[in-house]
Amino acid sequence: MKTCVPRLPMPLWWLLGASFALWGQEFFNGFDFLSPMVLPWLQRTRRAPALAASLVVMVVQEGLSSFSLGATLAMAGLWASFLFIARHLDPHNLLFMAGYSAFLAVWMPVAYGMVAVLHDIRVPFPSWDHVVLQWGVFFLIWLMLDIMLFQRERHGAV
Amino acid sequence: MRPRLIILAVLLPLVAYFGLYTWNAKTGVVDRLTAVLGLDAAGWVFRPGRAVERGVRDIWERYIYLVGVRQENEDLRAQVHELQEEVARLREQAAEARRLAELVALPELQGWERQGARVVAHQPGPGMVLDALVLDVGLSSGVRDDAPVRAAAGLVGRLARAGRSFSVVTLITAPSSRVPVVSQDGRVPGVACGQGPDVPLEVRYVPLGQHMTEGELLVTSGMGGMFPRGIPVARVTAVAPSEDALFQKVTAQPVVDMAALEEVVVLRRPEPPSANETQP
Repeated sequence: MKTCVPRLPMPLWWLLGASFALWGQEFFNGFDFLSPMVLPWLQRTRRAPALAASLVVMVVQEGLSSFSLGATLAMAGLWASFLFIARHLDPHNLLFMAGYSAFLAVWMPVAYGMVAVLHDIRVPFPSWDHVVLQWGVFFLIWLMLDIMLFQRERHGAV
Repeated sequence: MRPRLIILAVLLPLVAYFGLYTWNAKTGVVDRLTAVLGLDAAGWVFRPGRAVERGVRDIWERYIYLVGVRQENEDLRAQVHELQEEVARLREQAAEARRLAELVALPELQGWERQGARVVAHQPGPGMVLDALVLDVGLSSGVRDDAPVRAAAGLVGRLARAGRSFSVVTLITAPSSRVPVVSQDGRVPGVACGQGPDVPLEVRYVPLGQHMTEGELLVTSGMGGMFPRGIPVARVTAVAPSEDALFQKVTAQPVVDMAALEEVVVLRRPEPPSANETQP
């Protein structure tokens, strides 16, 4: 099957993805579209690109954040939980992806809430509608990136 | 995995995180770095998108206008299309000019300079758990952290973080926001505290004996020196006795519609003259 995905240079591919994700965050206030960029790399145990993607996501989210080091704690929790859970389960399984996305949708506001307490600010936990929608966003973006990376890998572009 | 290893794996990152947190609280290095790198990078992504958004809005408005003239002949349709495109463009320009004129017409505040700014994003991301905006001005425009931000109608908030070309504003509706206010007619002081988006402000520390009325305008009192005096903040919506007997329970609605903001003014203190300028 022919695909146009591998023709795009990798940095440009990620730059476009990050730009779309940022605009997603602007149009859907309060949602996280950037963090799933890390997941396909962690899923493939490719630590260097995962680390690079994490750094980019952390720096941008910290820059756009209302207080310091919320995104850092959220990302640290993402890494720790993924590495721990993936030791026991198959990270390529669709059920794992759906389940881990759900965990992440809960973990992210918890992490930001914890850091807000350090700053002496009380932040209400988002509504469950928001959490469910965030779960959908994580799962869909992760699935999409996974399929696109899979296509590139098949064509030897990664 | 051995228990000691597990404890180390949990404790070490925790210690590292709190170390980083404390170091950043003292030096602000992480804040500055992420403001210059992350905020500015995101700002450059948002800015062209605004132009695209306006274009899409124009096209949509044109489409709406054209629905009613489908039955007209081709020449008239083309003419109407052109004219309505022109009208939409001029309306947009007129609306923008009106908003800008309102900002320019704001009275001068003694000891403060004004810097116009455009809103490039509203609360983009999960980290903005506080109500916030991204503006297209930063350190290069001379604005600094904590600078007050206002619109024509009243106070918007203060700069939480300034990058090189973009900055983040924490709105007065954010849970961390505290603005010293005074009622315009009764001169009763209080502190307007943010309660989150779409929730009225809570005005704290209004003494029981003082008279604050519904509908009264609250303006900045200038106490603390962060905000200049006399900027409209909110209108009192309810006054009731509090449970703790010392103060009244007052709520107020911000006078600025934060969701509709497009242009604002950042207030800054003039730079003190440099040593070379002051020497004869």
